[in-house]
Amino acid sequence: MPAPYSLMWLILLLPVLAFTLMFGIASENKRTSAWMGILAAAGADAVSIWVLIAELTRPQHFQYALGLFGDFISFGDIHFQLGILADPLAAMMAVVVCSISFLIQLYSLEYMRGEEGFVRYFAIISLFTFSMLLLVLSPNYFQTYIGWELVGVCSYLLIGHYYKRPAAAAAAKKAFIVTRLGDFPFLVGIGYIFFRFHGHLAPGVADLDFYGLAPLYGAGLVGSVGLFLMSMMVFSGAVGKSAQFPLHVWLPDAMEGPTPISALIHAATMVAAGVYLVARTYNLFAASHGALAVVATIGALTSLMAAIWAVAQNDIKRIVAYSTVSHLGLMMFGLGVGAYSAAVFHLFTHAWFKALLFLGAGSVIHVLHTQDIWQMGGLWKRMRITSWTMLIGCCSAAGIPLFSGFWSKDGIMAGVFASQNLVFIIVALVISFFSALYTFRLFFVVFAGEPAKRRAFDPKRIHESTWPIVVPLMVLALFAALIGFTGIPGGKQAFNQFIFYGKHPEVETVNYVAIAASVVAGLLGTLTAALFYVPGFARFSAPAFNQRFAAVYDWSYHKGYFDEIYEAMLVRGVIVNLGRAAQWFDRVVLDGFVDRLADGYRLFGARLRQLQTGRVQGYALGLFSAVVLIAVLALIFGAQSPLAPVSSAR
Amino acid sequence: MMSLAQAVLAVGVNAPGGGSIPPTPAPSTPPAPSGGSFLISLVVWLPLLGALVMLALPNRDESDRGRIKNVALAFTAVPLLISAWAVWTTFTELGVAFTGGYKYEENYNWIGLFGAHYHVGVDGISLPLMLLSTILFFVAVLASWNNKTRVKEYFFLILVLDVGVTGVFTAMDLFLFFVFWEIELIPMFLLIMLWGGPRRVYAAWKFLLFTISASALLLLAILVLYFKSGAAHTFDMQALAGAHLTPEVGGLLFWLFFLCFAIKLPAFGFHTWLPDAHVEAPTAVSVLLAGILLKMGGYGMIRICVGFFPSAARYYALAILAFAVVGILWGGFVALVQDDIKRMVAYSSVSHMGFVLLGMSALTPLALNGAVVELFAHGLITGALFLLVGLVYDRTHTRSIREMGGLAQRTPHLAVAWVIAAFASAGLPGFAGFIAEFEVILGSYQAHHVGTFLAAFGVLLSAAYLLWMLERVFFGPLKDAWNRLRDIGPLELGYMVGMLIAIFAVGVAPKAVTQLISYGLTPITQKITGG
Repeated sequence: MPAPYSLMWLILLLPVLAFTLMFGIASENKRTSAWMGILAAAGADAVSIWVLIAELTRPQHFQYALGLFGDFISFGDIHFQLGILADPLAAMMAVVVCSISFLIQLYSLEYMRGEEGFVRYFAIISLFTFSMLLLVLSPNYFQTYIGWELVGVCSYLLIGHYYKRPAAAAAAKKAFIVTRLGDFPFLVGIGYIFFRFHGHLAPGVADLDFYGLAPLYGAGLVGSVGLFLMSMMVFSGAVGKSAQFPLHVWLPDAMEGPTPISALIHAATMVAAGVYLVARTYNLFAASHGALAVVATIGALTSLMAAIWAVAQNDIKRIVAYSTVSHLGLMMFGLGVGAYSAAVFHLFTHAWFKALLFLGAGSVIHVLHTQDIWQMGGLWKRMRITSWTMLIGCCSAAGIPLFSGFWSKDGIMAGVFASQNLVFIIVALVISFFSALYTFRLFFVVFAGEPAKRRAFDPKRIHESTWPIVVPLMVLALFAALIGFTGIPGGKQAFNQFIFYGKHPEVETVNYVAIAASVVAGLLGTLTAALFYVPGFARFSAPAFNQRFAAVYDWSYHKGYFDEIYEAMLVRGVIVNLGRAAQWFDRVVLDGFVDRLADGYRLFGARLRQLQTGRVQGYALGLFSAVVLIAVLALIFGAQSPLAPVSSAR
Repeated sequence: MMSLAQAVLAVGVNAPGGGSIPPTPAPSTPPAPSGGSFLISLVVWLPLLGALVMLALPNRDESDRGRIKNVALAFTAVPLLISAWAVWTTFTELGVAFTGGYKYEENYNWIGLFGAHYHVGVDGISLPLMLLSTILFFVAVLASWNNKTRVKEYFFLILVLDVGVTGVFTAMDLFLFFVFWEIELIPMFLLIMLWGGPRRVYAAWKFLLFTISASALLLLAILVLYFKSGAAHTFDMQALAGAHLTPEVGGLLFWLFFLCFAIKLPAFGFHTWLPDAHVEAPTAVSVLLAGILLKMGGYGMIRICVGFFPSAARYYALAILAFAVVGILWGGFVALVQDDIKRMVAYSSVSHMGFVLLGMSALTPLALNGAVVELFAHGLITGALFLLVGLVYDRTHTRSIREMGGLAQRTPHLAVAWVIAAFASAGLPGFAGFIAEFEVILGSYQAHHVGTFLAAFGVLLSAAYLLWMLERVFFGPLKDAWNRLRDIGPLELGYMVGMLIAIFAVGVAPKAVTQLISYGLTPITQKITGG
């Protein structure tokens, strides 16, 4: 095996080694621990970039079992393997995960300085990185599911980092349980796939292998209903992890974790896993009639709702969180309408600008100690680097032409237009509009105008953050601005040529109508934001507007009341009451029966106790009566039993 | 003694319909009484020797009590080392020198009158369970180290209990199996009765009532089987596994055995003794009760219900599936609303044992393998959970989840151990429970689509009740009452880390364990697939 591929196990080993050292040794020296994590991510990043370069020059597919574990579970004809997979998609994603993880840890060095649980924080980030890489480099469903669950646990631990705060503890639990609601059908779906294709894999191919299964989905082994169910079960996992409707409720709460963690979860790990899974198993979705339509519909719905809700939020992290939900929905939308390369490209560009937005928001929060955007304002003059980088991030997120988000979004738009579904096209344009609106609302309120007047806070104390915070921002801004040029439509289309579905790259004709419509919608959104929120330029008053359309505003502010509905109807109404009813049944019906039985027994025992005394007598009595009963039965069933001849007569 | 094979061939039994077994040559003549190895006997009887030694020791002051504890420790440590060595040796021989069948067999004539033998040995199913048993008794002694009331009697009973439980897993003669099964009863009853909590009398009698009913059923079933097994009556379990019975008798016996083991497991409907017994029992006894006594039921299910009556097991698969699914969901839902943390863990056992039944109802090699792995994994994990409940109770003197809160701030090590054990119990990859539940769910889908889907919901429930409990007990603001709690000490940390490492080891390197178990299951799966 050529050089970079033979070293890929290092990508997994380095982060898990860093975690083990930090967890096991529980280093007193905090800086050393943190640097261990940073260097591990850097090392893994270096190897992944090497692999990516190798893939870029000559795209190919390599995969091998991990030597230490080989067949993980293996007996009879069953082989579940752990291994490493290298193909363009995995190589691209590995670089994203390692790079973002590296930058975020560097940033955290300053951001988390002096915080309680500093070493624990870095240790779990390393474990998180490892888990995500395990998932990304997985050659089969088995390993994917392992990485999948580990990613969930790591985000539980990181969201709940400030475990003393009830909100953080509750958010962590919610994130894990809601995503697991999507996971359990995924697990059953893996069972379905295993059962259907187990006997049909080529010899030497491990069970559940992605590449081994790819030609089998469409081979007529499973009917169309079966394929649809199969893909929906897999998609259910993706819906949970990627916070799609109706399981989107955990992601906005997940910002209870430290801000860099939000960046990590929203950009490269956890939520990216869902989109990655659909991209990885696209064969399955494509083989089934209707599966992709469901993916597109769920994606579009999620994206639209989240974009509208984001406009009504006042917490800077919450706005960015809804932006993530919306963008993830857009990726699913893209995958659903068949714009495979564009959706994966959006996953790629989104990672950079979303990490940038969260880290930028973190930089602001770190200085101002508030998350309420109305307590900010006027930061443009005082935090120059943060402001500039945030502007780039916002332009990219809003799809302003030439920024990276624009190129990938444009690809998805072309796909939506190509579907010729009028509803989809309108929804996509509305998403574009709101996406620009909430993004620039955030930017204008926080950075334009004068600092908000706050008691006990001197605006002069606002200053730019220090280098470990600023450098990652600048690096990410560079990517958020320029990385999109790797996928210019009509040009050389590097990205399209590199990662695509099927045997040949999609030949994409540049759809100028789609581009124009999307750009106009985006610019309209930006203009609307300016008309409401830029001091001096504003023509409308947001509070007045909100009052006028109170119903829409309230619906939007309360995120469509999904949390309330779930809490009241499902958690309190169904789950807990089912538990209580079952408990009542145990106590009253089952135990009641047993106690009556025992009463009779005791009565019987009391008679006997007149003859004998002592506690263990009861046992003796029981055994004795049992033996008598059995002896009688044994006689009946014995040689003279009427049933006996049956066995010997035949 | 006429061999069973001859008897079968002479009669030529071939029961029609209802999933019959084609006439296969029954296992060869039961081996002549033989000796050679005495390893299993050492593991089984050393604790009894320890108990007898202990009887001779004085029990006057602290140093006497220290000596008693050391005796208990030594006489559980040596069996642990022996069985660990046996497992390790077998691991190295997997697929080479060991490709199935029994190891370390001992066979002596015992009661000639009705042909009972002292016949012990281990195969791929019983070997992990023997190891589990020795691990848990060793840990139980450590966890009882601070016990101050009636020390001598307490450890005496623990050691006697050890004999019965370990014996059940190693017996190859059904009569011997029954004797070991009965040995376990009295010590457990007394341990709950004498060292239990406020409602110990109720709990102990309830335990006894349920278990004795199970014993009665077991004895009845054994005798019926004995008389129906063929012309030459035998208690030899390998011979009985190959015995040919009419579907009617097979079905009847299947249900008799099933009911007995369902009480022990416990399956839904027979489970209400469990929470009461657990809540009242002292920590170490809870560990043993959930960790290993329940496994006797699961072991019996696999070894006897499926192993002896595979066609009945297949015929009644849907009924078993119903027990499994209802148990998994029932246990999960009830665990969710418990305020008593120990009761919650007890109900989680009901839920997890449902996966054993699920694997048993699916009857695929993968699902059966998962069911046995679940026995082993759940023994360790739930043992760890009960230890942790005990450690919390030692400090707070309450088990009410509502009264706790923020404990992690005072007991960080305990909290970390709890989080790890909770995720292990919730089936997180990297821990033994995941291997078991993954195998069971994947293996069962083939047989029951909807049933498996419903059962998989239990995976979600387990995460829900455990994480909700963690949130309310350890996280959030610290309540004033718990301001002066101390974290766990070195001894407690020591055995907790040991348990967690064992759980982790099986989770990251499951190959040897699953392979070992698959060798043990081969005779059963071959019969099921009609080989």
